[in-house]
Amino acid sequence: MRRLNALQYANTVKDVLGVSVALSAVLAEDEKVGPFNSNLLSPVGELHVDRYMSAAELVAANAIGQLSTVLPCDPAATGEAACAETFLTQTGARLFRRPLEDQERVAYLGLYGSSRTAGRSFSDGISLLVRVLLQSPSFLYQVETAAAGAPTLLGGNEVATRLASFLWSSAPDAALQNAAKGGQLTTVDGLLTQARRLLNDPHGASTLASFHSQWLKIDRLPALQKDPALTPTFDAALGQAMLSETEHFADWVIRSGDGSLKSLFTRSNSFVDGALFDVYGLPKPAKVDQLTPVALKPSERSGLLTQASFLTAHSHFGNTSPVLRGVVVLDSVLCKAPPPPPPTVMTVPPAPIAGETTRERFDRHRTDPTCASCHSLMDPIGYGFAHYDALGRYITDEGGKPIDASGEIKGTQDIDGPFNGAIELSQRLSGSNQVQDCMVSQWFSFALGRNLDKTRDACSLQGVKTAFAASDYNLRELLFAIVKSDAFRYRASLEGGAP
Amino acid sequence: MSAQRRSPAVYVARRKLLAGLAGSAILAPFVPILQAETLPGAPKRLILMFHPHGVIRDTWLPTGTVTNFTLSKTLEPLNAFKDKLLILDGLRLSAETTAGSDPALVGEPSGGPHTRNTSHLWSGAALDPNSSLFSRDATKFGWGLGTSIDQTIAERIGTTAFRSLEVGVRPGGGNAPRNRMIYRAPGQPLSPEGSPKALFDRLFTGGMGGSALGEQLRQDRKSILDLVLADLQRLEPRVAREDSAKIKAHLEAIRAIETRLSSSAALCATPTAPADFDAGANDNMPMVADLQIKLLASAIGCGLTNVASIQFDRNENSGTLFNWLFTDTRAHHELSHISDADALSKLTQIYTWYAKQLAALMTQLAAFPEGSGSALDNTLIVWCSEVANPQNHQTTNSPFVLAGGAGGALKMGRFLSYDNVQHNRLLVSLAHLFGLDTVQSYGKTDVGSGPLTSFI
Repeated sequence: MRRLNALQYANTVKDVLGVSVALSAVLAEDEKVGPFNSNLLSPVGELHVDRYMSAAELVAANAIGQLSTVLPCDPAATGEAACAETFLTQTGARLFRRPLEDQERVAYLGLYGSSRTAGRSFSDGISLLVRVLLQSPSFLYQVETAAAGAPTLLGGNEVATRLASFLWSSAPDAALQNAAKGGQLTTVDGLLTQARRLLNDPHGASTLASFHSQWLKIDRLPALQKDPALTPTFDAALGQAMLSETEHFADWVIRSGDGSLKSLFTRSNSFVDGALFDVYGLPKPAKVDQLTPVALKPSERSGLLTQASFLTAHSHFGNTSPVLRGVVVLDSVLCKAPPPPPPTVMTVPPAPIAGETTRERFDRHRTDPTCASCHSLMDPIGYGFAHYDALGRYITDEGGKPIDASGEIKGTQDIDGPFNGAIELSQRLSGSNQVQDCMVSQWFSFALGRNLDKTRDACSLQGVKTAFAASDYNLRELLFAIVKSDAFRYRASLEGGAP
Repeated sequence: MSAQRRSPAVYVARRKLLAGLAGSAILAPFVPILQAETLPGAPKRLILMFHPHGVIRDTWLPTGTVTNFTLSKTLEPLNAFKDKLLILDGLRLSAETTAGSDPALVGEPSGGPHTRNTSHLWSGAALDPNSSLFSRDATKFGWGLGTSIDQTIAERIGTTAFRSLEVGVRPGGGNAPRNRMIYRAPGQPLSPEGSPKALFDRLFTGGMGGSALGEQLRQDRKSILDLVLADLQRLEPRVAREDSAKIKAHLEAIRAIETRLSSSAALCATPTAPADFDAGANDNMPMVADLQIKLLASAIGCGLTNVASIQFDRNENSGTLFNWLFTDTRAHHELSHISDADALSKLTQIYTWYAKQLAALMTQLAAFPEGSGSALDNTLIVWCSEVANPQNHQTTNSPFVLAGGAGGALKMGRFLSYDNVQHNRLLVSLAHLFGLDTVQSYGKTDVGSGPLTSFI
């Protein structure tokens, strides 16, 4: 039973109540499953519940400040009591992602009623309703009631909740709820019709951005601190521009472009604003405060891994790190995480020495056998990024010495061998079966908010892989194949075990 | 030595008195309206304090004998409180295996030495090796498998509005085990409150009596939580077995908040609310520390909680720059792995700054008179870090400093040296000090038994 993550909470409040308010500082921080925000395992503590109380009060205060847009009725026309009940029934059904039960309706109306009896205002009464709805477990948790015995198909509202949570990071809209009510989501075709609609809708941007920023571990970029000596100066705005570039690029590939995994790693067009123009050495247009489509040099850039976001997030404070970049390629893109360093090893890189290139500095890893066993996997991939400095600028020499961007991939199923530079590396990755399988696992884990279970999920996983291959590795089709899978459509049994 | 409790009758009497003292609200912040000498005896309290990345032993270790010792550079800011210190040398944390062997390879949970020892420090337990909730490189691990000692002690003395209070100064988030040290139960970490504004709100608004608006908010919160409680109870039988534990924890949290909302622990004038600023920003750290220390001392001095912790920063904090002490582009963690004279001097400045924070907390507590002394005499602060030597992650000679007092039960003003004793002995001693006399071992890593010798 997953608890909403902060993005799902905020999106739901915005979509259902029309209230846009910054909640990330109010809600307790999300748990992670792999790289993805998912409140799956840990139970809540007093602090979480306190924060939910504060968040609900903040949202309610905003809601009654814009009461006419929040209410589905006019209290002057229908009468206040009737309008409050309509509001409760309609808003409650959206927030709980199912119709309210009679017991709930009666109890919540009682709360409203006694406040009115005590002489308080109509808007106070609505505020109480908003607050109780937002603190109820039926809002906070994605409840899937369990039945004894073998896993059974999820109910319409439950699968609608999973679908909206996966593709919108929000709650089902009225159309999806109607489809659930009409029984259309019990068939694969009916479910796919809705999945296509959701992915094409503007709300789909939220999920695509959230997946890619977490998958590549670039989501903390705006909060990172970098050496003030770097040029251009790294600040929150530049970090945000870098993050937005990659989010927008991935969205463009999947929803506007050909949707192929290959494009994600090979296209050199992108979307740039602010100081990011300086990072890419592009002339600044008159207006730089919005993402502008640009063509980057294909000789310098090839997809996600050559964008400033990835290169900056996986550098140190003031200089680059072939290790960090190599590790993320191995871990996130190839699903092949290297083992951790031994506990007594200093994991801080050697200080730069004047006249020494980054590569020369890190080559010391190879001479120490303790380090070499793992660093021989990570560093040679990371060396391929030698043409990019700590902010992702393309460089042709390092302190006057020529760049050596030759690297090597080792230990993969299908793409081992030497390569030269991140362009060739990206090309190689873009057609790799191991990368394709990794992408399936990553999206699967994101969609379900849990780690995959090698046994239980084996059939679903195989089905998705087959469908992904049949689509010539189209990411849209990957998402739909996940929606079609048993793992997505079936519930847990009462005895437990993740569905 | 059982913990002192306040009887409900005492509360009622105080509430009545409060009504007649409304004018006292103009008193300066952090000054109690009523003083604890009216109590049958002040409760003993416990505060755990943490900072990351060990200390530099050469500039930390006192010199001299048990009762006649001189503080070294790092602990110098505590000189004024020397007779209220009990410094322990020679204790070791043992979540770590022998140097050179990688626990991941011998089937133990990994997560790196900082992560392992953060959850181990107060609970004496290891991380869950059978969980795949977190991964660090190729190893998977879960939350710590112990209950931290403060939470065990809170079972006995957590009878106040807040059973326990977790305070943070840039403690980090992400629910990462390396950022969490307090465990309510195995697998149940408690998050520290890192925002002074939010901490203030938790402590002093809505929950306690006061203005009409505050009273209304308090009533609303209670009515709403009653309904939420009923929702949770209706839901519990319908969900999978593994989920009902989550419902139970949620119910427990709601009940704790309801108890707090029903209590009338307004012993103090409400302090001025801190401004809402970015409590996560690097350069705001001294300001956050100052406010959190004051709020924590208020919560103790005002009787809102008997059990608390304060976590400074977090491990492997590659972003934390001590710009207010010196100029260097290397963050604390990076510096802590460097052993040249410049780095050692800067590291000592960092650890001295932490000692100053302890001194500030002691000063604040000392401002609350209790009996013939102050809240400081009845509050035992235990300060340590997750490693002893940051350069090689060694955990022998962990830098334990006890400060304040345990209501006379513990002789302070001492410097004790032990010979490589497992720190679980100290955890047992703490349990005994707070009345849990039957505890003989603490935490899953404990291979010995009994309390520290020559301690009490």
